[in-house]
Amino acid sequence: MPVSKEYIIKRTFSLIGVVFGATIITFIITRVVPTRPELLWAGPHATLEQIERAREILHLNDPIYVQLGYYLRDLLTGNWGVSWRTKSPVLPGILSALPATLELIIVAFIIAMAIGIPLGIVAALKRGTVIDHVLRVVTVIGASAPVFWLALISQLIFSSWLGVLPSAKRINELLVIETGFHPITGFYLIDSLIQGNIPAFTDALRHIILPAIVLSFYPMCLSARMTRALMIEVLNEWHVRSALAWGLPKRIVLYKYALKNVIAPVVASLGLSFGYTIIGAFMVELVFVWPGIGMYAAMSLLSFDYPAVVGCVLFIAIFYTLINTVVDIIHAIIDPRVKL
Amino acid sequence: MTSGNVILNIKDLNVNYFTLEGVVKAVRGLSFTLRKGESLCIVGESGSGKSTVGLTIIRALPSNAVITSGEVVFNDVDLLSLSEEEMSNKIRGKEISMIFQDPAATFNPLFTIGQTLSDVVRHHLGIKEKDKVREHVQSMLRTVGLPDPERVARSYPHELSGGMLQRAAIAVALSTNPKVLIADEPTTMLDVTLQAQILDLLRKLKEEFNLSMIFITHNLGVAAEVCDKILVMYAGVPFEEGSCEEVLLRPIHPYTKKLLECVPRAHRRVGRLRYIPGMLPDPKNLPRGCPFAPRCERATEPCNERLPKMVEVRSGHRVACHILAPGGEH
Ligand SMILES: Nc1ncnc2c1ncn2[C@@H]1O[C@H](COP(=O)(O)OP(=O)(O)OP(=O)(O)O)[C@@H](O)[C@H]1O
Ligand code: SF4
Ligand SMILES: [Mg+2]
Repeated sequence: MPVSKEYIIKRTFSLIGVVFGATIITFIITRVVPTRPELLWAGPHATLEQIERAREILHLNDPIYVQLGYYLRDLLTGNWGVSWRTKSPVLPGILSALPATLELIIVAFIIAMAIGIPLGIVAALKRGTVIDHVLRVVTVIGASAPVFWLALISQLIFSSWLGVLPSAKRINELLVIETGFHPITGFYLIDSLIQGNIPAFTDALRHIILPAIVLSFYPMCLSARMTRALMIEVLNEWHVRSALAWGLPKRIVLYKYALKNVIAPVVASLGLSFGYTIIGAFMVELVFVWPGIGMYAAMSLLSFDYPAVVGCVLFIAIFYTLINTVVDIIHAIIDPRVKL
Repeated sequence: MTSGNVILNIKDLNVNYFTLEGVVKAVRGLSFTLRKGESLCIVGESGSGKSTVGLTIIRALPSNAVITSGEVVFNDVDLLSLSEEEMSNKIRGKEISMIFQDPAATFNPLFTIGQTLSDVVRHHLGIKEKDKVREHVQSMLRTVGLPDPERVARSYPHELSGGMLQRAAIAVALSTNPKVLIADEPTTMLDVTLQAQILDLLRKLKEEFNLSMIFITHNLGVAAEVCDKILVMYAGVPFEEGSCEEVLLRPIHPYTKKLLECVPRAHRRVGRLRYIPGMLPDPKNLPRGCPFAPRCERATEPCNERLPKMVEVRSGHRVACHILAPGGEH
C-alpha cells in the first residue's frame, strides 16, 4: 500500500489544526462561563489565603491569553493539568478510562458489521420482497432511535423485567475478588482470557452485551442500508456479469468478489459515523455506569472540572482524527485505486 | 447439412425484459445454427438485442429478463433445461465463454488480473497446486500476446490499458479451452489500431483453439473481416442470414442494403457519412408488423400487419421480409 509524503504531511497538519482549534474553543468557553474555578480547586473548607494561592497556581490573575499560553505549553509537555474533582492528573485519568470505552466501541462495531452487512446483503438479494421491506422499516427506525432511549428501554427489559443481564458496571466485583482477576491491558475480555479466567470472561461478556448492542444500533442500521444500496449497484456492474460468464460460481462471485466492492465504502462510512458513536458511547456509559471516558467527561462536566473537560474534548478530537487516518489506511488496503 | 457438425442450435428464441415502464421484447423468434469451427456475426444497431442473445446462450441474463420460449441446444443438450449448478460447473466459462465490450469494466477493480484468472482456472480445470495454476495463468497471458505476463498478472485493472485488458479478458475466456467463444463487441471501445490487433488475435486464436465463435458487432465492416456467416438483427427480430459473401455482396433485405450503404469505405471519401434516417422503434411499444416499417422505403400493406418470417432464398441464405411474398419482387 503506497503512502505518499503529501498524505502524511496533510494528516499531520490536520491533526495539529484540529487539536489547536479544539483547545482554543473549549478553553475559551470554559473560561467565559462565569464561575469561580479557584473555589472548586481549593475545596469547600479553604481559607481566603488558600483561595488566593489557588488563583496564583491556576494563573487566574493573568489575562486570558496568558492563561491559554500556559495551558498550551503544558499540553505540549504532556501535562494536561490536574482534575479539580479527583485531584489527580487529567491525562492519566483519561487514559485509564480509555480501555473501557474502546472495548465498548470495538465490540459495538464488531456487532454492527457482523449483523448489519449480512442484513444488507440479504435485503439486496431479496430486493422488493417482504424481507427487504421489513428490513428497511427496521433499519430506518433503528438509525433514528435515540441512543439513551434504547439504553433505558433495553435496561428495563433485560435487567429489570427479565433479569437475564446485568444493568451496570463492567464486571461483578465479588467475582473479581473470588477469582483473583486483575486488569492488564484494561480490556477485560482480553485480560480474562489471558489469565484463563473463564468465569471472569463470561461475566465481562454478560456485562458488555447490553451496552454494546445498544451502541451498535446506529452503525448497524447504517451499514445494513449502505450494504444494500452498494450491493444492488455492484450486482449490476459488468465485472459481476463477466465473472459469472466465465463460470465462477455465484457464491464466489457474490461473497468473494462483489462483497469486497461493498465492504470498502461501508467501512469508510462507519469510520465517519465514529464521531456519532462516541457521543452515543457517552450516553450508554452514563446509563450503564460504564467507567469509560464518557463517564469521566460527564462527571467532570457536572462538577465544572475545567481541566478534565478540556482534556476530554481535546483527547476526543485527537482520537477522531486518528480514527479517520486508520479508516483511510483500511480503505487504501482494500481498494488499490485509492492512493494515500 | 450434417447435423453432427452443428455445435450450437438456437430455436425460436424469445426473450423479454420486465421493467417498470413495460415489457421490452428484446429477442423475437430468433433461430440460427453455429457449426464447429465456424464464426457467425450478429450485426445490428444498438438495442437490437445482440447482447441479449449472447447472455441468453450462457444464461447470464440480468434478473429482470425472462426467456419466454425457445431452445439453446449445445451438443444435443438444451441449455435452458439445465440447473444453475450444471450451467456454472459444466457449461458457462467451460464450454462456452464470453468477452465483453468494455474491457475497463470487465474485471473487478479490487482484484488483480492474476487472481481472477486463477480463480477461473482453479474452478474449471480443478488444478489445485499453486505452481501449476500460476504456470497456466502465465502461459495464457503469453498466448494472447501480453508481454511480461508476470507483471500483468500482478496488475490491477486500472493499471492496464484497454487493449491489454481486452487481451487479458480473452485469456480468461480461453483459459478453460472452451468450444464456443461469444465476443460481444470486443473492439468497440478501442481505438482503430488496437481494434485491428484484437481482431487479428481473435482470428489467430480461433484456429489455435479450434473455436466456434459468435461475434457481436454493429459494424458490417468488422463483420466482413472476421466472419464466415452474418446474421442481421433489428429490434430483436432476425432479418437476414447467410454466408459473408451472400449477405455483403448480394443482400436482399432492405435493412441490410441500407446498412451496407452506411459502411464507410476508405476509397469513397466523397460526401458525408451516411446513416439510415429515423430511429429504432421504442422497444416497449413495437409496431405490430415489421419493426423496420416506419423507416422502410419499400414498406407495403402487409408490412404493418404481420411480422415477416424467415424464408430460405438461396441455399443457406435466409431473409425475413414481405417483399419476398408471392408476387413481391426483390
Ligand atoms: N436489464 C435490462 N432491463 C430492461 N431492458 C433491457 C435490459 N437490458 C437490455 N434491455 C433492452 O433490451 C433491448 C436489447 O438490448 P441489448 O443490450 O441486447 O441490445 P444490443 O444489440 O446489445 O445493443 P448495444 O449495441 O447497445 O449493446 C434494448 O432495447 C435494451 O434497452
Ligand atoms: S417487411 Fe416490409 S417494412 Fe419490413 S423490411 Fe421488408 S419491406 Fe420493409
Ligand atoms: Mg450489446
